[in-house]
Amino acid sequence: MYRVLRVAEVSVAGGGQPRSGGVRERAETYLRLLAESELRRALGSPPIRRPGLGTASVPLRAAYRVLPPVAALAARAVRPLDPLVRRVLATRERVQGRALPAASPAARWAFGAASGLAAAVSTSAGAAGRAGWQIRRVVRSGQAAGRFRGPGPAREGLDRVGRLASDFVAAELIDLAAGESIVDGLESALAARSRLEPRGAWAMRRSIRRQRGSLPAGRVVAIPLGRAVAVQSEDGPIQLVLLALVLAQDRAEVTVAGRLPAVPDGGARQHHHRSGPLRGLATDDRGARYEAHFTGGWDESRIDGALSFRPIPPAQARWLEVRVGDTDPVRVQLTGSQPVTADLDEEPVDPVERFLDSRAERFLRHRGLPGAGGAAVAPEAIAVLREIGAVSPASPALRRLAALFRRLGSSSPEVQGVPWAELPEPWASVLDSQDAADGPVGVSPLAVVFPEIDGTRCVLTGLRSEPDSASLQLTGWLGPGLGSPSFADETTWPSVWARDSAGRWHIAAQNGGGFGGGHANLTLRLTPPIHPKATSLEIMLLGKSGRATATVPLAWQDMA
Amino acid sequence: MTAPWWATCGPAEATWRCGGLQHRLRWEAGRLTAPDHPEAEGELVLGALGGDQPECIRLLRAWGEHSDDLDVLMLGPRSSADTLTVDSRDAEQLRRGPAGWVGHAPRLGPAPGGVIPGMPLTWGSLWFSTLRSFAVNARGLSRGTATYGPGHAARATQLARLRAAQGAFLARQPGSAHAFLLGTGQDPDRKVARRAELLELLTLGRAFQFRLSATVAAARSERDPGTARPALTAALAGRLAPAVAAWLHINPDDVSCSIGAERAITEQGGGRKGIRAAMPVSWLSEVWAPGLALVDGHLVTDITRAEFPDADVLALEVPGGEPAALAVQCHSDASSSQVPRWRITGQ
Repeated sequence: MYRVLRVAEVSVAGGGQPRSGGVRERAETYLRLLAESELRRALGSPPIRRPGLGTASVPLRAAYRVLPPVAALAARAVRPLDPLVRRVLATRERVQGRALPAASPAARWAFGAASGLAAAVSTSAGAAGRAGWQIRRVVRSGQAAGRFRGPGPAREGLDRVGRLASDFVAAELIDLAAGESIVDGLESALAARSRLEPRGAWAMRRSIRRQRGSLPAGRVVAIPLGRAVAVQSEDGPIQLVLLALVLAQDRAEVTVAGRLPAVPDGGARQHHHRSGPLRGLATDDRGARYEAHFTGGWDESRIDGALSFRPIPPAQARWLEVRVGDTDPVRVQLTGSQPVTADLDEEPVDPVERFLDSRAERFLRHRGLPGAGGAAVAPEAIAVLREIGAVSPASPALRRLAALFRRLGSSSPEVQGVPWAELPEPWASVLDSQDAADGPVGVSPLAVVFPEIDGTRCVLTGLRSEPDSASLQLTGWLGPGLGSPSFADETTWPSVWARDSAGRWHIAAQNGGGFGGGHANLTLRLTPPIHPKATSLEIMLLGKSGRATATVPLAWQDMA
Repeated sequence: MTAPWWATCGPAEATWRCGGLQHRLRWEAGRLTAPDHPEAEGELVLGALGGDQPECIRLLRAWGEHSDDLDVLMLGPRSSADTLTVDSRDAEQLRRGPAGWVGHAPRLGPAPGGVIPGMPLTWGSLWFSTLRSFAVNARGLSRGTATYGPGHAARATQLARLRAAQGAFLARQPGSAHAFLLGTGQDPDRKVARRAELLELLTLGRAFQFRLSATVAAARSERDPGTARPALTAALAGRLAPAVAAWLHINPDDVSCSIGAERAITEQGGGRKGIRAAMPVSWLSEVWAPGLALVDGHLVTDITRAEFPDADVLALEVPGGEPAALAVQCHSDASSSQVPRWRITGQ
């Protein structure tokens, strides 16, 4: 449950008249007052105690003290390898899973120290980061075991302020620097009172990452491939479709969608390198060689992701021969390709209105997920927007949201007294078809290059369809203004909608993938499934700065 | 109040390890001094020019650097019951690298000492920084005097104008782009060093924590809050609300605070629960920091005369009432780590 602070009085001078600072000033004031309130709340709880090292052995105590600086040095040393190393390691973590420390506290210390040290001496920034992670994990384990008290209320308060800051940034009520400053300031204030374990130079890293993100300079090329290959693995052949080749100045990737072999013992897969066979190799017409690693995710039966090639092939290359594992090479002509480009309708939308619509869209996306219903709408943010006067009951977006709640039979207090509007056709269509399970099975390669929207660029490279849903593969870039993923959530990223030729609308939700170094590789889950009679798909990106639309034919390929 | 803002603050002293010895740092009459460094001003200048800078001198310089830093109010104490647990290891840990404290992303505008964010320290900026430190540490601060001449807000405004006028042009000039690129090139190391410096100042003890907060509030109260209004409002609310709550035995969340010259505490009215409190930012330096917010069941709203340990104040006994003139006296050693205890000595 949340409590909305009274902020209207705070933002007015003695006479009670609104100040010239307006809604942006009120938003920042609200957020800062919330941070004060959360700090006060956290001070009501007892301070945490730093982990007592008295019971640990001398080497372990030494490891605890030595590890952070060692990890820091390692991280600095390998910083130039970013973002590649980060992505490799992120992939490796997804592949391997994270080994859990053993149960006893002493063993946890030993595990943390040993694995942390091992990581620190490896040659990657990610490994150094994980070293710190191990220590923090040990700390958390200690807290859970009652060795020292956990930072429950403090962390909750910090998260609450962070969420609202993120929402305000998305609605352009405060700028990113202000949002980060408030959240980081609260975190420091809590740490200064031992209500929170200080984390590793968090804001610093975030700033660095923000500066690193940039949109691709020059042309982005996307070439549809649509080639099926079978890659041998320990469990059997992995059936893959090479969806498209994406080439830009800062990345070269072949996106893939595939099916994993059935596991004979009924699903008990071992956690070995499942992406091991998914290594790529390419040569160009001049004899240059390029190596690729796999970045992506999988579940029990499916695998999606991309093969990232290094170095980046030069613009002069005429063709590439791409080989995945031991499969036959696939030749890709780089010259003369004509990717589908989306049409841009630059019609800026009010950022607060767009924010409210994005909340409604989030609700539409996630309402099928257990426990995600109300939380997806962020009622607190809406209540605060009303409190600070950023939105009135006459707001068209708020009225649409009210209509959505009404359609769903919900009586959310945040939209009380708001006259409902007509439910937009796409929203109604999604709700009408939400229980459909008639989607075709197959993969349709795409290569749609979208223009810049809201400081992002993206290429859609494939559509996978299944009876109850569909998914799009997205290769994207985050611009310098979007900050880290903590501030670059679904609200920041443009909304992706699609309408199939049978008239059924679909909304996309992020369902796997990740961000790193200003790049994104995402799998977007489309709800509801594609209509079985659909022959083409109109895809739309909706953002604050406009909308982009492209229509692509659907040509299903089987992966069996 | 006609007296300077620091007239209700007693002297404070701490020791700091400097050159292998324990040296004294003394705060009195609004300024920090290093009594064991009789040539402190010269050492400040020499340090800025690249010479060795003793620890005490480094802290003097840091005190000056942070004397209008809003981060002080974000990190600093909110009340006498609010205990900071930072120690010098925290500052050291922050300097060392990732395992430690968070770095704070500052807002746009010049860094203290006239340094443009993202630019390496130059002789000019060091010199300017030194002069600032010299200024703040070489003289008492009378009321009505900002800690430093134009102050950050004014310089930020000037810089913003300059950026608006020249930024686009300068950004295209080879070799001159960095200084005026908005929001780029923030040097994380410098940010972290600055935060570490602040932590060190806070480790001087609670007497210094309150006095540094007062210094910042005094500097900020002398000019239009501008874009710092939200931060100052929160800083005021974070300290005024607990005082009002303790006075009336209510929840601090039920106190709505605002920056205002009227110095009023009233019921919300209009059927709404809670209390409205309006105070100027100077209330923080003049009343809150010396521990005068609550005296014998009265909420002090203003100081009319002060000469530590005596002061004449205006105080409320109930919300909405007329403030009464009271004479008060501090009965504890304000230079100690104890909370100053003020008592009413006359009406």
